[in-house]
Amino acid sequence: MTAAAWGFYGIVAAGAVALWCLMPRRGDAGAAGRGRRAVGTLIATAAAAGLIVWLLSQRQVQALMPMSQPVVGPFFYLFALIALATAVRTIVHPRPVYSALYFVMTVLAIAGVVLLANAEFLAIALILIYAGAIIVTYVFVIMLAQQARGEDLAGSASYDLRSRPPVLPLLLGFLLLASLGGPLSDESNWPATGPAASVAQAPPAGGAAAMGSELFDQHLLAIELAGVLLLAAIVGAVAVARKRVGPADRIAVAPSNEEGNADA
Amino acid sequence: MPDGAIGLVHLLILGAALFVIGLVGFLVRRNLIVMFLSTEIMFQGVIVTAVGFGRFHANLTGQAFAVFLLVIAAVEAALGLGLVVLMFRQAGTLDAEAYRTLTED
Repeated sequence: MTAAAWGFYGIVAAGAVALWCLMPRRGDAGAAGRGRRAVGTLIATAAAAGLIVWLLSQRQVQALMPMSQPVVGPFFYLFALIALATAVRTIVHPRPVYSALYFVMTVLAIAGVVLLANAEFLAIALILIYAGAIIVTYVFVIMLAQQARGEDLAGSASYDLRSRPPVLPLLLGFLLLASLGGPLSDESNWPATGPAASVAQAPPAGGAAAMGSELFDQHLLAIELAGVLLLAAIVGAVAVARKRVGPADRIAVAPSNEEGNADA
Repeated sequence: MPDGAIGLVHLLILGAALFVIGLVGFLVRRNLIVMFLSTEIMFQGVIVTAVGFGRFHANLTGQAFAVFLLVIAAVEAALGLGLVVLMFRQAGTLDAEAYRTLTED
């Protein structure tokens, strides 16, 4: 157990506490709720700063993005911070529309990270497909399924304003992330040289031409199967969307738990 | 190698952190749409991890894997959101806990 591993556990624990503070729950509108969210934001900022310091201290057997390109390092940290912060905002925001828009920001930041790793085609595909197509689907569904409400949160549904008890999921997430990151920080767990040390000078460029030949040379069957899968999804989505819902189709559901149970 | 350079561990930690944030969001939030958004955050984490490993091994397999992840995400969004709209029209709520009556017990 190295000091780096303990540092990482501390950072992850701080992140879990921050998420606990930020999750929507009963009493968010009051002064206590505002204070708790401010504390959560503070802890999250501290955890992010700690994560940057921790990552800066990591020595790697092989630099994937060498410092010979001097803009890479700062931009990686910038994109990583934006991605993590907007991902947290996505899961804690009480309004689904804002969640979807914050997720667009996450996708753009991840596209930047992917671009720094020389995956140009994938970066463009992420922006086009995720930020351009999938999120539009989400926003349309939110428009269809959620009534327009005023500026304040008073009209929001109780299932948006109060989350489930966050303690057990946060504990699970802490254990998962700690068990993944702790061993990664131990240098003795890494091989002395990376597998690509000899070709590190010429990393593969993931441009459209290179990705095309890679996909159609090495993954032809998978490409065809992906096409079949997309066709099946189109047919299935049309079948689902065409279904007429009459009064006889109403299904009885349990009453919404208005009180919420986020106090646990 | 110099301190401060970006290595595999940076991408792996970023990917794992995104995955865990999405996992927590999926387990904690009650709105079906936000739960689906959380799975998309998990996809982003996996994409970062796949690209990082592909870069580490200096080939394009990781990026090809990420392209197939995009396909799966698009299929999941189209079908999952179609079902969410259908459930909303039939039950009038997006609360995941309201659908616990659909279990057999």
